[in-house]
Amino acid sequence: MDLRRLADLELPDSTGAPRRLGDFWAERPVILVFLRHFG
Amino acid sequence: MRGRYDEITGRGAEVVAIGTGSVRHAAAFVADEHIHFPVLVDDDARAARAASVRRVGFFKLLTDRRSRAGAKRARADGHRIHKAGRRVTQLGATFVIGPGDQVRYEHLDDHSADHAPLDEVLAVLPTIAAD
Repeated sequence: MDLRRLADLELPDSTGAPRRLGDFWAERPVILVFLRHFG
Repeated sequence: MRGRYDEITGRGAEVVAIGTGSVRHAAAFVADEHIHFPVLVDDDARAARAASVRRVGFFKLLTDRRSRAGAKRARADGHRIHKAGRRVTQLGATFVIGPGDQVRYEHLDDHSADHAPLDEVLAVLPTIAAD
């Protein structure tokens, strides 16, 4: 796990808006789940 | 995870899911499954690589008894796959991260039917609140 690299990534959400991953856990804990598939 | 989302947010945490596939398939997943947490798309595997998410060989994916049994259980429970995305050999993983740059929990799935025990994941959250 390269947390710094992961935190700096921007990925599109389900609306297409870019979201920086590190912003999610800056202030609160996040359960981050990698799914094999949607559904 | 979905069934205990209120409990998770009640403990001051959030859930973020990352999948492979397109934004269109992520949107369909959110709508069809009534998902209330962010769902992100990692179609080029940048996030999966940074998180060291495991992959499994295609042959093992098809022949592993644990994976086949898990798929059978999922079908029996009414789950369905909307879109597998480009990386069907990528396994899942679960982390608890934050607040701040600290990994509190890590579970890298060992096969396609392996998942982090939810009680084990949630048990990390009160520890964080007490820090």
